[in-house]
Amino acid sequence: MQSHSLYVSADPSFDRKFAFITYGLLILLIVFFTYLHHGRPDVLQVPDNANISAWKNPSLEQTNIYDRMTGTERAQVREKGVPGTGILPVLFDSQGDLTAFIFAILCFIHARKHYGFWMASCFLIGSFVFTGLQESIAILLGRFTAGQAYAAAEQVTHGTYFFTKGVLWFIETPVAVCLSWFWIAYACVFTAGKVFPRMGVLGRATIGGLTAMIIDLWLDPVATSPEFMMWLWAKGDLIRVLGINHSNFVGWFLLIFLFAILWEWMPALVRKWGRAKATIAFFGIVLLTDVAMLIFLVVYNTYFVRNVLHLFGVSELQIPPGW
Amino acid sequence: MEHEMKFPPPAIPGYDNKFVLWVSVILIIVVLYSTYLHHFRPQILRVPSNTDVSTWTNPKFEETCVYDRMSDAERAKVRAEGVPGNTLGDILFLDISSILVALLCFFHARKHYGKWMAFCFLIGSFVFTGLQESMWILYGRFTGTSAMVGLGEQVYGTYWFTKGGLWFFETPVSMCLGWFYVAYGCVWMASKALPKSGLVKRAVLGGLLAMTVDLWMDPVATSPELMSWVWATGDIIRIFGIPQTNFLGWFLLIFVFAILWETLPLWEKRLGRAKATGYFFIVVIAADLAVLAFQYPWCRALRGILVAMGFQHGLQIPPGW
Repeated sequence: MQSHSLYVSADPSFDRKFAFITYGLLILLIVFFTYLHHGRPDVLQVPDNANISAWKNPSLEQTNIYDRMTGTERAQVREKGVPGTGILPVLFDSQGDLTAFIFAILCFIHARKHYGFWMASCFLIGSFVFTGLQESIAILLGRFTAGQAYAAAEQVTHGTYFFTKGVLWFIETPVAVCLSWFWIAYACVFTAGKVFPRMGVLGRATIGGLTAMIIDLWLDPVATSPEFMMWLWAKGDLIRVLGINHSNFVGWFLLIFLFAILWEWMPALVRKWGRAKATIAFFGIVLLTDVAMLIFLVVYNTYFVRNVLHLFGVSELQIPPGW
Repeated sequence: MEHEMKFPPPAIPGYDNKFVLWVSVILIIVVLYSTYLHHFRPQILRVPSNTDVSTWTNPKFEETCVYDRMSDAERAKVRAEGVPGNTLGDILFLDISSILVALLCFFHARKHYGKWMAFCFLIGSFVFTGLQESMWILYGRFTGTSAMVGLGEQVYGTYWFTKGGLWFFETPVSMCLGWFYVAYGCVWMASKALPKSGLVKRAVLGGLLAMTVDLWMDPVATSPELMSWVWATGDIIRIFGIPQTNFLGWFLLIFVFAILWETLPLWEKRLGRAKATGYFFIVVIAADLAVLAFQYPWCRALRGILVAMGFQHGLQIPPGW
C-alpha cells in the first residue's frame, strides 16, 4: 500500500459521475433500509429492543450472552430491554453512528491524499458493501432459517446473530458497523504496509487481516457483554472464543485479507481496461467474493470444523471453558 | 525511534558482555527468590490463596470488582474450586508464550539498536513495571487502601495477580515481559507511523496505543472465567470494570519510559556507557516512584471534579460494569 505505486490520479469527469452514482445509490439504500428497520420492522422481523420476550431465532435464552448474565441482569433486560439504546449512546458509543463517521472521514481523507479520490472511494464503498452484504446475509439467513445453513450435522442451532443498535442501517447491518469495518480495515492494511514496506501484497494482506482479527478478538467480548449487548450471538457454533463464535474471527481475517488484495489490484486493472471497466470489475468481484466467502464459511463449519473436533473426541469447544 | 536515533550506539563488546552478565544474574536471582517466596512462603507477603477465596483480605472476594459481575453459580464455583484456569498447563502456557513473544521483540531490538540498547529496554522496562506493580499491589494488600479515593463507596485495597510460574516480587514474570513487548511494539509502531515527529509526540502515541490495547484486553483478562488479576472495588472511575488508575498508569509508564530510553544514547555521548547505564537505571527507579506518587494528587483532583459535578457515587462506564 505504498502511495507511489497505488496512487491513481484524478479523472474529474469520470470521478464526478462515479461519485454521483455510487454515493447516490448508497445513500438511497441506507435511507430505504433505515426506514425499513425503524418504520416497518415487521418486514425483516427485526427483534424488538424493548420487548425481549418476543425474540426468536434466537430467543434470549438461546443466545450466548444469556449464560453469562446474573439473575438480576436477566430480569433487568427482560423488564427494560437492551441497555444503552437511547439516542446518545447510539450516536457516541465506541461503535456509535457519529463516532464511526468521524473515524471513517479521517481515514477517507488520509486515503484520498495517499491514493487519490477514486481509489479512496473504491475502498470506502467497496468495503462498506462487502461487509454490509456479508453481515446482512448471515443475519437474515439465521433469522429466517434458524441458522440451518451454519449447522453442523449433529448440532442444534438457533440462528446466527443480529445487531441491536444503530440509527442508520444498510440492509440489517448498522451503518456504524460498515464504517467501522472500513476504517479498521484501512488502518490495519496501511499499518502493515508501513511496518513491512518490502513485503508483497499477500504478506501485507495477511498481516493486515491478522491485525484486524486480533483487535476484534479483544473488542467483541466487551461489545457483546451484558452491559452493552451491541450484537447477540445465537448458541450453536462448534468453537467459541471468549464467548464469540469462531467463524466471526475467520470472517474478519478473510474479509480483510481478500479485500486488501482486490483493492491493491485496481491500479493494474485501470491500466489494462480503463477506469470505467475496472470499477465495474472491482465491484463485480467484490460481490462474487462475498458470496464465495459465505459458501466457504458454511462448508468450513459444517464439514471441516466438525470433523476436526471429532478427531479429538469433542463435539464443541469453549475457550476459556464456560464462556 | 530511528528518526531520533540516527546513531544506534556501536557495540563495546568488553563492556556490553559484562553488563549483560551482571544484570541477567541479578535479575535471575531476584526472580528465583521472589518465585520461592510466592509459592513456598506465601505467608510472608500474604499471597492470597487461589484455592480458598474465603481467606482473602484487602480485598475480600466480596470486595472485588469481578464479584459484582458474577452469577450466583459462578460465585459458588469460585468458592468451591478457587480461581479458574490455574493448572500447571495454564501457567506454563502463560509463562512460555510470554517468553517467546518477548524473545522475538528482543531480537528485533538487538538487530535495530544493538545489544546494549536492547538490553536496557528489556531489563529497564521489566524492572520499571515489575516494581511499579509490586509496590501498588503490596501497598493495597498491607494497608487495605490505595491512592484511589472512594466516592460513596469504601476502598478495600488495590489489586493482585493470581497466575504465574515465575515471579518478580509480587508481579508475574509473564506480566513484566508482556509489558516489555507491548511497550516495545507500540513505541516502535509509533516511530513508524510518525517518522518525522519529535520524541515527545512519538512517546505520546506509543503510550496511547498501549493504553488502547490494554483497554480492550483487561476486561477479558479480569472476567469471571479468567480472573488473571483481581481489582478491589472503590475507584472513583471504572471503565469496563477496571479502575481508571490502571489506564493512566499504562499511558504514563510507557510515555515516560520511551523518553528515558531514547535519551540513553545522548547520555552515553555525554557520560560514557558505564555511567549512562547507571544513570538510566537510577532515573527509571526514580520515575517509578514519581509515577506512583502522581496517582495521589491525580485521584484527589479527579474526585474533586466529580464532586463539583454533583456525583455522589463513583462513575462506572458503562453503568453497572
